[in-house]
Formats: sequence, structure tokens, C-alpha cells
Amino acid sequence: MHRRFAPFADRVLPPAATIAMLAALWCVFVYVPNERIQGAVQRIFYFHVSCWWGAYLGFFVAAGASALYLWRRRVEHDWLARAGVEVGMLFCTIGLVTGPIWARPIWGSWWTWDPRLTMAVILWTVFAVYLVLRSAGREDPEITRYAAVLAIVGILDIPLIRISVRLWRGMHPSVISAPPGKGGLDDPRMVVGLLVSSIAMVLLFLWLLWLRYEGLRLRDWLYRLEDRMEEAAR
Amino acid sequence: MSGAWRILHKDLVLELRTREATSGLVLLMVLILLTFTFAMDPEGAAEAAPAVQWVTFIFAGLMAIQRSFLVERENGAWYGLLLSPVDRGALFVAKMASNVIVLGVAQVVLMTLLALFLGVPLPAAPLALLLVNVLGIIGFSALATLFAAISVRLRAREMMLPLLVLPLLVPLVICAVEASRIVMDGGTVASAGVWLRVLATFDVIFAAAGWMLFEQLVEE
Amino acid sequence: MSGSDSFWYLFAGYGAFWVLLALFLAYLGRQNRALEKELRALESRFHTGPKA
Repeated sequence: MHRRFAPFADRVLPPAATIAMLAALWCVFVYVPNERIQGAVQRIFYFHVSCWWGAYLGFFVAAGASALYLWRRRVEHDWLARAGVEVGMLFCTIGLVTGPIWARPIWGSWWTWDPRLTMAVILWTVFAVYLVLRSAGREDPEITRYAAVLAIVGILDIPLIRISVRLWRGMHPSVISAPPGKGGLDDPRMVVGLLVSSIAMVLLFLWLLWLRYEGLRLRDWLYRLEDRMEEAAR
Repeated sequence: MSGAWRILHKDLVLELRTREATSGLVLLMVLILLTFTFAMDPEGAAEAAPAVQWVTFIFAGLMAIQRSFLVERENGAWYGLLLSPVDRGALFVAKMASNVIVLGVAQVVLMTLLALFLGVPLPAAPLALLLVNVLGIIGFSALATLFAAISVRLRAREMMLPLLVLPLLVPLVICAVEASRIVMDGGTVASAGVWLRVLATFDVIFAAAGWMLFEQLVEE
Repeated sequence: MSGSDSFWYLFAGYGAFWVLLALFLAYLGRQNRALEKELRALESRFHTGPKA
């Protein structure tokens, strides 16, 4: 996997992500107009909404890679899973921090039990436990398998969390829902801004995922070298 | 499949003879319930009963399942089980079933005391009450049984099972409490229907997941 | 909420994004340096013999 993606990842991703990020920032601060009701502070929305792409991509990649790992027992899949969780958690944290920062001036309170934020909190805790589970430097292979199961079970839980949280908040579960504020996207420039931000987030996600994956690959290489030296010394 | 029955049978007979796990579990539930009661005004607290019931159940249940697994592991019985030619999925089902039964018994005691201490009225639809509890206990057991073996090799092991299971249990908590509340207020299976359906889905998904994934976790 | 007030929130929002991103990159950098350190240690053991 490394060999197949390395040329693209090393040469294309960093400049692409950087350019996309700069474009997104330009959109957010220059291109899009002020939102009628919420004013300038609404601009947080572009990064806040698009960061969920990074979070969910990370978690889904982690679950898929975990399943592959359990099936084939190839370490690359475990590296990918772990990288997916770590980068996903970064974006999830960004979302959970920018959410209240946006909510406070708009809705008046720091926290709302908005279904999406609620889901984000729950997912954050699921994968925070994943990271705690894997916080030992050299881990037991049993732990690796537990982590993989956790990632899979976590993703399976998502639709259930979604339904139950929406019912809990008295919202009728519908297939497509508009998060707060999205309904006010009247200017096409705003749609562009959101689109560019989302693309930038995805590219940033891919780049960070690659960086972390490489780090895990190198660390594993190091461990194997150390093991071989231990054996040679005996 | 017959292997699973035999394991289940062994667990239940063992439990019936020693009553070790059940008594500890029931006592723990009572104590947690009492703690809740003293933390509230018991007179007007019937409202809180569903929440108290399920929180108590979950915390006591987690500790009980963790403990029972540790005991088995310590006695070496677990390795004996693994060496036997029992299908891992069937082993999971057997373990889950024995947990469901033990937890079910404890839950009955818990609900009785809850009704007594907090003045909860008798349910108008006992079938609905039964359904909520059966579905809730099954879902909880599925997840807890799947992850129970974690509490052996890690440094922070006592915390690990609750850490793993509690976030995943959120849908179960929400649905079980809401459904219990509806039943307590005199509702029927129909009026609690949506919550029960989500609970049932939860059960199916995680029982199936546990059945398929358990062998990944218990190989040596 | 007055106009100038809300700019602070806008600031905080994007600031948080960059701070968290920077923290993550610092974390990656730290992992890298730890790897380098271990590699050097490994190399020195290789040169001075297995008993080192």
C-alpha cells in the first residue's frame, strides 16, 4: 500500500492540500458575503461544517481498515486504522470546539444538544477510548484486535446513535436534515465557500492521514529491527 | 450448538449452586439504588425511576460481568473452554445467555425495590415492561460479553470495560429509559413502540456482531 | 450581540482550528523525533556490540 500511494501522497497531497486550504480561507474571509442575520461570525460555519468530513472519513476508514485487518491480518491495515482514528479525532475535536464557539454568539448558550453535536460527542468518546486502549508503546497483539473490534462496533453504532438521539430530542428522523444555519444559504457564493472548504478539509485529512500512516509504518519497522537485534544478541 | 448449551448449562448450574455472582450483583445494585435514593428527595422521585433503574443496572452489570470473567480466567477454566472444540460464536452466545439470565434475575429484584423505594406505580401493561427489560438486558449483555475479556491484560484494566462499553451503550440508555418511562406512565407496547423497535435493532446488530467478532478476541 | 463582540468569536473559532491543527502537527513531530532517537540508539548498539 505504501509503495502504491507514496508518489502521489508525497508529491501531490501537500501542495494540493495547501492550495485548497488557502483557497478556502480566501473564500471564507473575502469571497462570501456576510450572512444576513448572523453577521460576520457566521463564517465559522464554513470550517465547522466541513470539518465533519475529516472526522467521519477518519472513523470510517478506521472501521474499514480494522475489518480488513481482522480478516487478513496485514499490519498495513492496522496502521491505516489507527491513523484514521487519530486524524479523525483531530477533526472531531475541531468540530466540538468550533461548534460552541459558533453557538455562543448565535444561540446565546455554549452548548446545544443539536443531534449532530451530540453524535459527535459520543463518537469522540468511543474513539478516545480507542486511543486510550492503544496508548502503550508496544502493544499486545490482543489489544490490536480489541481496538479493531472497537472501531467496527463503533461504526455499527452510528445509525443507532443517530436515530435514538433524534428521537430523544423530539426530532422526527428524516433522511436528509438541515443543520442549524444551513437553511440560510441563500447566496450561491456561500455554497461555493462551503464546497471549497469541504474539499480543503478532505485534502488536509488525506495528507495528515498519510503522514500518520508513514509514522506508524516507520515505527513498526523500528520495532522489528529492535526485535531482530535482540534475537541476534542471544 | 450443543456445545453452547452445555456451557450455558454449566454456568447456570454453577451459579445456582454458589449464587456467587448473583448475590454480589444484587447487593451492588441495591447499594447503588440506595445511593441514588439518598441523593434525591425520595418523595417526589418516581419521575426519576427509569433513569435510576437503568444507570444502576448498567454500572452494577458492568462490574458483575467483568468480575465473572476475571474469576473464570483466574481459575484457568477459560483456557479449558478455549481448548474444547466449541465454535467461538456459540461460546459467545452461551456466555451472553448466561449473563442475560443472571442480569435478568437481578433486574427483577432491582425493579421491585425501585418500586418500593420510589413509589413507582404498577404498570398498566406488564408485557411492555417485560419487553423493555428483556430487550435492554440483551443489548447490554451483547456488548459487555463481547468486550469482557479485555479486563485481563491491561494496566488500567478495571476501567477498561466501562470505558469501552459506556459510549456504545448510549442508544440503549436513551431507548430503555424512554420506553420504561412510557410504561411507567401507563403506556402500552404500542405507545412505546418506536423505542422498543430501536432497542430490538440494537440487540440484533450487536448480538450478531458479537457472535461474529468474538473469535477474533479470544484466540491466543 | 454587537458587531465587534462577534468578531472575537470569529477569531476564536479560526484560532481554535489552527491551534488544534498545530498541536496535531507537533504531535507528529514528536513521534518523529522519538523514532529518530531510537534509531540512533539502535545504531550505536549495532556499532558497539549487542551487550551495550
